[in-house]
Amino acid sequence: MMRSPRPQTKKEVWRYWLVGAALVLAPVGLGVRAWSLSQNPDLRVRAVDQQTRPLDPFIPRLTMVDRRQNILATDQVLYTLYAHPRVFYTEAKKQVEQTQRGEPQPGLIQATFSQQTQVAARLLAPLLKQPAPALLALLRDQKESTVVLSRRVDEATFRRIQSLIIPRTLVEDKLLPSYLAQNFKEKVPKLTIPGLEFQTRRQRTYPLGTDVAPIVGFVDYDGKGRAGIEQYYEKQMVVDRPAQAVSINGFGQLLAAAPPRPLLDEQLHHRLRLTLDARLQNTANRALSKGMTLYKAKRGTAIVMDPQSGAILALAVAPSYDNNNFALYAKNPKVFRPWPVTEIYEPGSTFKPVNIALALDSGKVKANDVVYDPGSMTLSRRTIRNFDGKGRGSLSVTKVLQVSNNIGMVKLMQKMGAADYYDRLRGIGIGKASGVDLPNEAAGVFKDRAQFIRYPIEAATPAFGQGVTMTPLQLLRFHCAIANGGLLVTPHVVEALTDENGRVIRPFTPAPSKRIFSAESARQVRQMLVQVVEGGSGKPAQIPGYWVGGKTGTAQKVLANGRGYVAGQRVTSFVGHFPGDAPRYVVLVVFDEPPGRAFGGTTAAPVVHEILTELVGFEGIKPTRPIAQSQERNDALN
Amino acid sequence: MNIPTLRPTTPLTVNSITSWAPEAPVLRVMIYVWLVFGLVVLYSASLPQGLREFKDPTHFFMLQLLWVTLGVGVFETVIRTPLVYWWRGSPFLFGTVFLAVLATQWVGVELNGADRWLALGPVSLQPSEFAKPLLVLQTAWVIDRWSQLRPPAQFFWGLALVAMIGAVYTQPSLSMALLMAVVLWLMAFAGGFPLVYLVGSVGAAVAVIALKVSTTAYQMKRLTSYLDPFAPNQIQGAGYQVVQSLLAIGSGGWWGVGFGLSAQKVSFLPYPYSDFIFAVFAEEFGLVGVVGFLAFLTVFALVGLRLSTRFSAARPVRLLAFGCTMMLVVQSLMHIGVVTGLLPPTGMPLPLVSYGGSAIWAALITCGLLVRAAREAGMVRLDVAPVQRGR
Repeated sequence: MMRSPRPQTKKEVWRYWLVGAALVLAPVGLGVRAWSLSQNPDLRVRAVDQQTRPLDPFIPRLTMVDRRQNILATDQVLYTLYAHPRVFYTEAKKQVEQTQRGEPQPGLIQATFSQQTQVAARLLAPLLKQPAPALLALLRDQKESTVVLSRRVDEATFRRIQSLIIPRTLVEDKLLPSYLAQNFKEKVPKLTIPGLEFQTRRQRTYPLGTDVAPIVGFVDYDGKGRAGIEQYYEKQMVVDRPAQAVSINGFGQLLAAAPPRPLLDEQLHHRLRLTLDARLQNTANRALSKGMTLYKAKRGTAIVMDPQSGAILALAVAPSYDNNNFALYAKNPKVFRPWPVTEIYEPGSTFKPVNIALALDSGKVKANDVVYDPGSMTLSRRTIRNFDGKGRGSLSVTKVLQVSNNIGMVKLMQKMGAADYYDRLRGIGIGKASGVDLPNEAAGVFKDRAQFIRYPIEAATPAFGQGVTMTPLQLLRFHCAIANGGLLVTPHVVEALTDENGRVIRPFTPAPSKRIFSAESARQVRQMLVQVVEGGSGKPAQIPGYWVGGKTGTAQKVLANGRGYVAGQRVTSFVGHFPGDAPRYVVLVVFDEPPGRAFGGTTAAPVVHEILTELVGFEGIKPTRPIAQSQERNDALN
Repeated sequence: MNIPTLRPTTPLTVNSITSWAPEAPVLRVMIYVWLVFGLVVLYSASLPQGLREFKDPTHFFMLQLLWVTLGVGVFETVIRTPLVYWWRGSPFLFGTVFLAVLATQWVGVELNGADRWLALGPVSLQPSEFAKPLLVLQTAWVIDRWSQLRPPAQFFWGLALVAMIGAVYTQPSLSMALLMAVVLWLMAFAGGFPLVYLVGSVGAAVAVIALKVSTTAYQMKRLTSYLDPFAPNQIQGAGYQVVQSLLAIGSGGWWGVGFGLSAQKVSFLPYPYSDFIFAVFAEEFGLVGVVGFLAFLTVFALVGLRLSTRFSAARPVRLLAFGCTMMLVVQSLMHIGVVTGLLPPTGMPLPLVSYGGSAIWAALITCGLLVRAAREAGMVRLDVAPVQRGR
């Protein structure tokens, strides 16, 4: 059959045209589809979403140092070591299967397993400082898939344990000997411990622990500051870094293609420098705890402040807590708050110098005035007595302070007039918070002005420091004003944000000081305070070769509700100014509820003495007066 | 059979003839461009998988390079081999491949849930890939002679062609069978078969496919996932592949993320080096790259079509050129269709780009036949025309 192809095929040409049209339209259609896909932002968002993962890097809290760069708080890397007993078993089984042909005997597996766990336990025991049998029991606990061997493995131990875990799967058998030869000088048994796992965590560590706990505070399990500086400076301690997006693949593994930005920037190495002097703090702590043991007080505190700047150099509190193990004190959370900052008390006689300064300022009282002490006086149907109930006759102002005479004080204050006295007390900030940079500072309570003026008793009690409340820190602040020539400084514990080398990056300037006494009044009061120690109730605080100023205080303990006093309970205290002529340190020691007939001069003054003695030693303060012939230490009176 | 007696009309050397159809060098250059393009795209697309599976990122690329190098030799040989030789051996080759495809049913190596591989010593061959050029070759021959064949012969050859597609289909390789069926249908359409039969065959095919898809669980799943890939119950399952592909194209934007920088190829996209390679390309080269490749494909298709409408050439040569063009272009379009989510997700590699030795060779044989057809289409006036064709 013959056929002429050409005429016939000419007719077919429309079919080719149709196919051609389809072959143009199809790519166009695909192109439009691709265009719509490539312009769809939702797809891009979804893709980025699955290709990246926010990496929220752990950024350590700032390191805290004292004024001499001693580390007070830092973030330490700790490891939790887990073991997987079942992995030990399967490894043993694998090993038996490799050496044995055929079905492995269960007995043999068990024997290998127990041998291997024993070796592992023996190796780990010295590293973890745990008895080998205890570890062995954990490793053989087949019921658990994961057991915790240790929660506090430090960096060095971590590395040593890690060197024992050479993953068999990663190092080929022929490579293993050469790997060992290269990495270990001594002959290491060709041993690998399977089934161990580490988990990294950061642990806030306080090298000085209990010593500085009242100021430094602690960080809870969520990494939030819960007390002290850690709480007050939370914002400054936490360096905020937004989470970075890092590339991952479909298995969730991090890709090296776009590694996260290095986090090792400057800011992470900044330090928070405290005004605290760890050495002085330690001294204060030791002196205080010694006093606590001797006088069996319920609570106590020893505070050292720099009167010129208001910097707190030491703040010892008893009872205190260990901020490395804060959980142990969870039942008694009160201990986390340093009571000299967070609780108010009646300062008693330690407040008298403040009153004298006010009276001198008012001009109604002169430093050389004389008052008559009849022994008791009745005001608003209440009788005020001296602590011993005896009258002392005519007394100079200095003498009033020296013997801590209540009646004399009341009479001196009466010279001012109740209204003036009230306004002056208000003027220096009685009843106000000091603004210290520690959390939960308490503010004192101060009575109503009308009442104060109307009832003489209301104006009388503050004269000897009763009926007026403040925190021990606030009292110390007023003493600082006496010490520095009349300026009310703001107590503070944090000095500056510094770099690693201690260069200041940002100083934390406390609120500016305010003049509350004239320089002359302050000077006169300082002279009187020196006399208190020289020849008054403050004698136990004397230090040979130095002038020491000071004032004792023995107050009745106020009830918790603020109405009335706890029968028979006292608060004894002593404020020391050192050196007495030009104070660089002001020290306050307070004992709360020392039993029996305790006085500020007998309990607190010796502690101040001890602190100052050590301070003189390590600060190298030169004596300013010839060392006097034996300075007799009498039991001080109030 | 008179065809075997037809004497070779061209010398075996290329350069001695200068009046070949202009499409021949154009197509040859385009094929080389395509091939190099494919290697470049594969290099990037296969790196992560190579690293993961073989600890050698260039594993797939090096093997592909080997196959391409050998394949170029095959390609150039095919170009230099007169088509008459091909048609002389065609029934035999066709039968062999048919048996080989059937053989995969029993001795095949399973891969991706389908038996498609035939282990031959160290290399695994995919007979269904070779079925594609041979189907075109044989179909061109059958259609050309259709009106001269007696009904039994018509029946035999019709059955043989459909049986080949059926054999591929039962592997099961639905997508490949579908592609072959489409090309067969297009060749029949271009070859002048009556429209009644053609339309009827489409109806029958649709019915068969509908039945098959609805009864095969995994194909049904793929189809439903195609209808709504972002459905919550699909996103982790069958729809996952399409979603990943769409995300890749979507993150490409206008200019792409840059060569080698695809993020989706790193274990998100399934088979980034074969079934979804175009998604990697789209992500790395963006819409510009996609449109560029589509334009290239269109030009290639139109050149091929132009060739097959050279009515001065012998009809089987034109049909062969048509069939080869369709085989390459339709497969490419189907691949892109799957990748862009317009077609149900099936394993359809991109010719000359996707990884696979058999596929590369089969595609290069197809290309060789196409270029050869282009040459012989232009030669007709010189030597073939004076020879009385047929009996």
